Amino acid sequence: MSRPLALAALVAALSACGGAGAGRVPVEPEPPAHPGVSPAQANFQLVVNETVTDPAEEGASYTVVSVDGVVAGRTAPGARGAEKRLLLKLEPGNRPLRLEHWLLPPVGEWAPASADRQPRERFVRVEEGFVTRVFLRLPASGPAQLIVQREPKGTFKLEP
Amino acid sequence: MRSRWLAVLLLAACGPTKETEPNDAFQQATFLKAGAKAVGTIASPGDQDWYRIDSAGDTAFSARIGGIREVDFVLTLLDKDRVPLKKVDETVAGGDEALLDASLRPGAYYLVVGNKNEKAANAGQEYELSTKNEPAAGREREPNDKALQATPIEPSGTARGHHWPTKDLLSEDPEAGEEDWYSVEVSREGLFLLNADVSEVRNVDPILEVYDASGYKLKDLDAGGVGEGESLRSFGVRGPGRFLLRLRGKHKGAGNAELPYDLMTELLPYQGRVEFEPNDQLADATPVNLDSIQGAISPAGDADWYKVAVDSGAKTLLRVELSGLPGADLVLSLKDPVGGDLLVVDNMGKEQPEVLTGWGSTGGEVVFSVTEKSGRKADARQPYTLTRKLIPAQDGLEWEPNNSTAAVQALKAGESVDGYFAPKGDEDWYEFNLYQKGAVSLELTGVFLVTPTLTLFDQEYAELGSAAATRPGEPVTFARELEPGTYAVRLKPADPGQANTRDKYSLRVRVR
Repeated sequence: MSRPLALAALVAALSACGGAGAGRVPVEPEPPAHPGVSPAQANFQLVVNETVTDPAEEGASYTVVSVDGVVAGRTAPGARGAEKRLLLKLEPGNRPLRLEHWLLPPVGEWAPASADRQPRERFVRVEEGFVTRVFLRLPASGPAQLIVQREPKGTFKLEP
Repeated sequence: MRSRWLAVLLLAACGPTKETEPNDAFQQATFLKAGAKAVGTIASPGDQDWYRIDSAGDTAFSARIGGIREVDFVLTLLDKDRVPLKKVDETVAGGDEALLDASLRPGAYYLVVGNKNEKAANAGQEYELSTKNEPAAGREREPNDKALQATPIEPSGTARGHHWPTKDLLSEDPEAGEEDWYSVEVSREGLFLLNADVSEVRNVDPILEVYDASGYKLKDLDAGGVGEGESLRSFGVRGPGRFLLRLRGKHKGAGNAELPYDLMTELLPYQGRVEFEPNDQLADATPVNLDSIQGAISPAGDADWYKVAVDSGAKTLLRVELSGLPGADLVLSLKDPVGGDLLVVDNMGKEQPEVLTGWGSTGGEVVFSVTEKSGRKADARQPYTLTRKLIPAQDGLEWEPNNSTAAVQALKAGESVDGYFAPKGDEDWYEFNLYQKGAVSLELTGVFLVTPTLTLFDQEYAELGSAAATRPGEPVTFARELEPGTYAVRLKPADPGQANTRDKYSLRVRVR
């Protein structure tokens, strides 16, 4: 199965779990998913964790990564409560990073999460020989939380 | 002459019933009219005098026997099948005994006068047994020493009873003390508040407990001391339903046969103006739907939990004001979803108000509790008032929680934000992005009673520099040439004990 077809099948299956959205083919947002890079090449990792306490609000989500105002990649869509990871190779430097979180509700179409739930833009430093890790936490209520770490490559095992 | 005999006969008819020996068993019982007096003797140490009482209606029956030399009286009330209902033996030889508040329904009962002193030898002295029969309405109905025997009472009414006898001689437990159980039936559907007051009785320190129909204890009141009453306020009841009140004395052997207690109950429809007890845990938090609500700390150690609903999707700041309470130091604690403390507001001292200046919520419920700091103060008659305000969040207002780098609040260079140094121990983190190199100036206004400190960090939270006021109320400024990047500012009082819930600070980030 080709990647777009597999993605569509996953999203359709997820929306079918929600019940009301069964059979609907979601509209995919632009841009298409960045292919990502292997752990050996990566100097940046995004880890997204979202808490969903109300089963009625379960659905799917993904997060788009923009650096210097340009889309650098996005996580694969998955159930909102599931952890999502993305490995990227970014140009070294200190650059503004913006993360945009998208949601597919049980009923409805893909749309960006409300402005209150979007993480703030902030600079991250990417350096040769280091891996910058950004943890995005979306609690059940309240604003998104960002934690940034930068550690020498090899300090920890990178998992795509 | 005939009229003299008639007068003697009439006097005899009005006088006490004389026991008719032998009356040592129920078959030989002397008939005694409930409410009448009887006289008799204890012919031998083992003598028992049985009296039969034929009750015609529902009544509250009492019997008192005056002590006579060497005789240690024991009074026992039995039903028609000779099943003991109540047994009293409170005094030693020569002492009076009283059997009070016994419930008589239509039918036969037996009252047995016995003696416990094996050496008693006073066959010549008559005892006097006086009885009283009163309407049962509004009275305790002994035996009511167990939940199964609870006296039914009106949800709004008064019941009169006695902390008497002090021992339950019919219990399997030889140490069992007297207790009075009452049951309240709420027949209407809806939410109600129950208030209950137990009047004071000399020598007795009462304890009032509330149980549900399943036997779970819901509330335990022991705020007053010896000779003081107890008061239950705003106890939430869901109707239709049934619950039980258990009244007992705290100290063994303490009772009062002379002075009755009054148990006054009041059932009111719940309108959201007062707490809905029991609200002692997260699951029972009282919803605060009106702008204010009243509660009381009772019993000692009471924790009142509340919850405020915030519209989903609306960025809202919750402000909560808690009034002072005479003689008490109240504490307001904001709770996390599992009931742990998120934030403790304890800025002020005894009898002073507490204020949660603002807590950000994007929807759902914000839960908090009110407690008394020492855990020893309680007064059901003195309510505190809790006032809540939901303020739409806007740019330029502090958004708590912003106490750490993980919960830092974004701020745009060139703009300002207003916030509070509160509660005690508060620190506020802000973050701004600088897209071009520039001279950045951080300006913080002074706040009464607070000596602020300002610290600047780079995006990896390495400290770049700090500034502090030299005394409370002074402003702080800090200037620095900065490269493009993200910067964090931490504001906090120099002394963690400083706080000001009344006056806001203003922080401005200027870039040149």
